[in-house]
Amino acid sequence: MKETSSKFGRLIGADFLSPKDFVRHAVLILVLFAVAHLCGLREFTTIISGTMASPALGAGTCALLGMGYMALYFGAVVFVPILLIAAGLLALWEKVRAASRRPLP
Amino acid sequence: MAKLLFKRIGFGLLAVIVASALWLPCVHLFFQKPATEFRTAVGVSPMGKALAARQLKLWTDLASREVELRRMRGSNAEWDFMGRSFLVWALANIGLRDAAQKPACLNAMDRIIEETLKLEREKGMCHFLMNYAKPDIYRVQPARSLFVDGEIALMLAARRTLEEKVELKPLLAERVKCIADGLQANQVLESYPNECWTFDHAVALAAMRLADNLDGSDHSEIISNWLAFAKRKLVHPGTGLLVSSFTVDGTPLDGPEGSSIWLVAHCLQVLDPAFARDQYDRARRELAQSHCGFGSAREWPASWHGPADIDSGPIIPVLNISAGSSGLALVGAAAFGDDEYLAKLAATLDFAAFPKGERGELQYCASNQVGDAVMLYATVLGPLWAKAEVKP
Repeated sequence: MKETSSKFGRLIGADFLSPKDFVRHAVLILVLFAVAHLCGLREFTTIISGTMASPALGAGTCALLGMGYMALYFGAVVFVPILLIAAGLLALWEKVRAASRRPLP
Repeated sequence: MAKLLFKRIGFGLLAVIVASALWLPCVHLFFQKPATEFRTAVGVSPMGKALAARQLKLWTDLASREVELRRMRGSNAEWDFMGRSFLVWALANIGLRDAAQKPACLNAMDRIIEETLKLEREKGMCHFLMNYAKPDIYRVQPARSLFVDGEIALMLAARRTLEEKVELKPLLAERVKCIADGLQANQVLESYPNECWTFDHAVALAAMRLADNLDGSDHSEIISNWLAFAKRKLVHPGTGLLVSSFTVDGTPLDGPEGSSIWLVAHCLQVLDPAFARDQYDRARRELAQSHCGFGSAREWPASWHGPADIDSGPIIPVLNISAGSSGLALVGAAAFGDDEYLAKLAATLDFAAFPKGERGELQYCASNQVGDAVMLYATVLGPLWAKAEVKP
């Protein structure tokens, strides 16, 4: 548990635009998307067809909830894999660079 | 220190660009399915069955239907009506494709037709029209809407084609006579005051063709005259596509519109197959598009600047994707056997229309009942039109 917390801590405190930073943002988007999905916001995407999911809430709120869900969905499906691939590429680059700096035995 | 930060930002952005270049062209592979998943040559595809299950549930579960109707009528009363029409036309095709489904299809069709006619009788045609339809300002009196008459005629003809029902025979004959008399007298008919729609004329004429097939009548002269008029006055010079709407004297009100032309081309298949193919090919060239393997359709061709409206739905800027046109493009692609485009459109549905499947029922959250009914129709269309093929 302590090790997990420490790993999580290192992830939270990751350097800007580092591989861990990319992973941190990917996790954040996935968590937010999961919350939006569990709250039933998928229904509000009907705004794409010009329909209000809940006329009682009004057009503005319906549009906001629908657009919010869509942003998180496309973030999860399109942007999260990009962040993870970018994290992998950066980590690989750092490894290669570290190996090239290591003195030969 | 600053140099190190800039270096990190540079590497980070470069990694994001390379990752995007790797990922974006691959996304569609996770959503792509063969066109046969969407529609099959015989029987009903799994997707068609699931969409039909959801649509039929809305006619048995009154609470769900009430919610759906309130949502749609809040935006556009036409959708309530068109949702009925497309569902009835789809059910006719399902019944013709799968004999085991025929009794359930007939039962649902009868309920929908009965309730639609009752609402029209009790509340008038304006119940299914947008607010600006005021009967007293129609140019031709007494006011009638071809939108309502044409779609009801096609519902009645579809029901009778699946299985004859004598009570519906005079209702269809009366509706067809009304359309035929109007077209003979005025060449075109209004759907709204001084507003005629190519979509509504195409549907009405297809209904007339089916009625001829059922009752041995012959409206071929009226159909030919209207087609000649359309080719003469309603073709947009820049694209060769039929415009979407026009006044009673045939002056175009709009250019060619995606939410109209795909279904128009489909209806033309039973009126003038060569012209239908020509219109589909032109629409494909002018309106169909593909981004990273995902198919979609524009509402307006590049040579015409029109706004987003209630028919197009919101248009996504830059990409020019219209939900209305893309949904109806499924009908066009399915009707003309354009499997390549159909598969790309179906991939977009799964990617960006937010499917929701539960207990064998399928709906698309980004859509609504009428949108889902259009998709259902696209999965099963064919057999009904085969009954109305143009005789040589």
